[in-house]
Amino acid sequence: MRTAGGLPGKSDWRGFIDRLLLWAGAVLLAVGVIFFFAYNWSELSRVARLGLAQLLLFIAVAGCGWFGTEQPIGKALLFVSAILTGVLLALFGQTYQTGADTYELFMTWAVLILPWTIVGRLPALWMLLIALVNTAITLYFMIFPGFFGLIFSTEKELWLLFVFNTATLALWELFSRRVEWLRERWAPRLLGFSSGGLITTLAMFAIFDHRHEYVAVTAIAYPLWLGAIYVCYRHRILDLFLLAGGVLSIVIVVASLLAKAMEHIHGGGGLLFIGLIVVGLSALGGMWLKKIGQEGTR
Amino acid sequence: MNTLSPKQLWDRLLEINLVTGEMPPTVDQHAPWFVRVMLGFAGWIGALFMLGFVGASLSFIMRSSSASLIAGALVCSGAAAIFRFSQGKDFAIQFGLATSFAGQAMFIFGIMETFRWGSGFGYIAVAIFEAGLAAIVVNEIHRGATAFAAAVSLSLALSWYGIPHLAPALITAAVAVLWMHEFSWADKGSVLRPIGYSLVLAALYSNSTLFMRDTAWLLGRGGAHNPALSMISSWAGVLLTSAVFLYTTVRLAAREGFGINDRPARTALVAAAAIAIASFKAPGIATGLVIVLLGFANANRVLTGLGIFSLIIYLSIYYYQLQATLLIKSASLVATGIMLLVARIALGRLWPAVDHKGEHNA
Repeated sequence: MRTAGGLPGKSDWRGFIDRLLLWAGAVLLAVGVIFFFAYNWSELSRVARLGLAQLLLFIAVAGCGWFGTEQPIGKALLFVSAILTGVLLALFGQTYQTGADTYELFMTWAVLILPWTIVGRLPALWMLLIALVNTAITLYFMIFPGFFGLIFSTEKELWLLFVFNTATLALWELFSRRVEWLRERWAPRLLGFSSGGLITTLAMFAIFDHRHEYVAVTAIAYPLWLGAIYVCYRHRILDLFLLAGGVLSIVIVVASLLAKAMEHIHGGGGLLFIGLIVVGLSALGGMWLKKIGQEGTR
Repeated sequence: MNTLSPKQLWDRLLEINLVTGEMPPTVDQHAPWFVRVMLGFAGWIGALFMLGFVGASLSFIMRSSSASLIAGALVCSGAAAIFRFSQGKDFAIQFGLATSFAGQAMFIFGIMETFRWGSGFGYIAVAIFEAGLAAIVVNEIHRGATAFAAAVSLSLALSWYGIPHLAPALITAAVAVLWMHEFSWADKGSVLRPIGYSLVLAALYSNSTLFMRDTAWLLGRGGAHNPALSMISSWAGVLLTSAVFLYTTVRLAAREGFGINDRPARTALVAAAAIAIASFKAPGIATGLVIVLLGFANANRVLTGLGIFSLIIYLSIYYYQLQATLLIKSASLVATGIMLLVARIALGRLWPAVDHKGEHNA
């Protein structure tokens, strides 16, 4: 490994330790501040708490302005500023009893950090913003389960999350062709995983509860999603991770379809049959993925 | 670090006479980690249906602990034989996985029925059974799954005996030893690598579930509750995790050619000790840092990613753990964060970055 240059040299180590200490230190500090304000320390007056949160945010933003967002320390301070914005909003709501719902807090947080996210050119900051919007949508449906009708609120929530995450994934892949800092694969993989998990759950909803209004939509959307994943990650950008996710989704949906079809058959033979189908399908999928992987390494 | 093509690597090895002749064809038989995880998960789904079949058609097996133990052992032996003679055939391997998972469920059911559900001895029996499978069965996915089950069962047994803090520390020590010797034990790589990844996940699991009210696996509710024993266990766990962190730092420095008397090694050791002391209320941080360091040292991006993932998950769950108030946890995190940033400043002073023109960066 050493001869092949596969192991880090002294300068690699220096750069890595520098980044590790910076990012781990910044994140632990920010999380520590969240814990501190969550403790709601009675020894500290509300005004002092608010003042402290504002001071910390000011220091982080000023530090970012001083170092600039091109430097790693500037990026880390911008990330900390984005987290501290949420702390300040939560504290503000708690101090002045604004009456705002929690989903509004997360949405406002996302909107407020959007300009920093745009100038920061940092995938982690974009992912924080996307996570905040996901949380806001989830909380909205927890507070207003009956707004769109009690029965279908879970599906509506999942559909909204699916559309948001899939659209974000599509935009990410589109822009990553031109923007170099967007080319890190962990972020689109996380978005693809989320999008796939949601559509697979929706497909299972449609299979096991065929009365609801989304069966037809799911029957169209699921194959379309699978096709899009295949075309995009087999032919445009080779990404075995997301193709493997697609294979697993097919295995789960086929097993669910068979289980639904055989629910009235007595005895365990049907279950054994489904188990064998799952084994066969996943083995086929594994072979296909390995073949594609070998093509990619040639 | 360089990323050489297979041809470039072969040429370099030829130059220094480590190989001779023509380059062999490069066909990678190993699937990437996520494909193996997908296959393992699908195998588990298949196993659930097979268990359903056993429950519906052969229900007498699940009504008797002896029958469950015998049937489980037979099914697992059959699966081991499938792996042994499958000659890498994908269908056979996937069938073996599903069969073995179903057999393990039956055997564990029999063990827990025999000893009492959630008892410490029951967990130890499960840990021995799973560790035996990890050693015997010739399949990487199976090894990973069974090693994880063995480590988690051991941590649940220690929880039941009132010494829960030892589990993450012992698993972290095993992770450090195993990954530190990845290259010197390369001939056993197919056995040790999947076990190494599983132990990383088991360390994350045991660190995260520590101090939570429920262990939430096989109905474990904890047995012994001796405050003095718990305190000893807590300190032993923290000290062992810190010792592993320091050992990893010193060994990695030695691997880069720095002896314990060299300034870089001593500085790294002091920084690691300071971080370990600051984070003693949150030992999961030291575990995460050990994994990240080992991942980078071995040029293993999956391991580095798992280390970062375990740090993020640990911090998310740390909020809900019950060992200290949020104020103390906050102080611990802030102190560790400051310590890491101070270490970074010290690094900049003692080992300045040099750019390509040979000038020091600001």
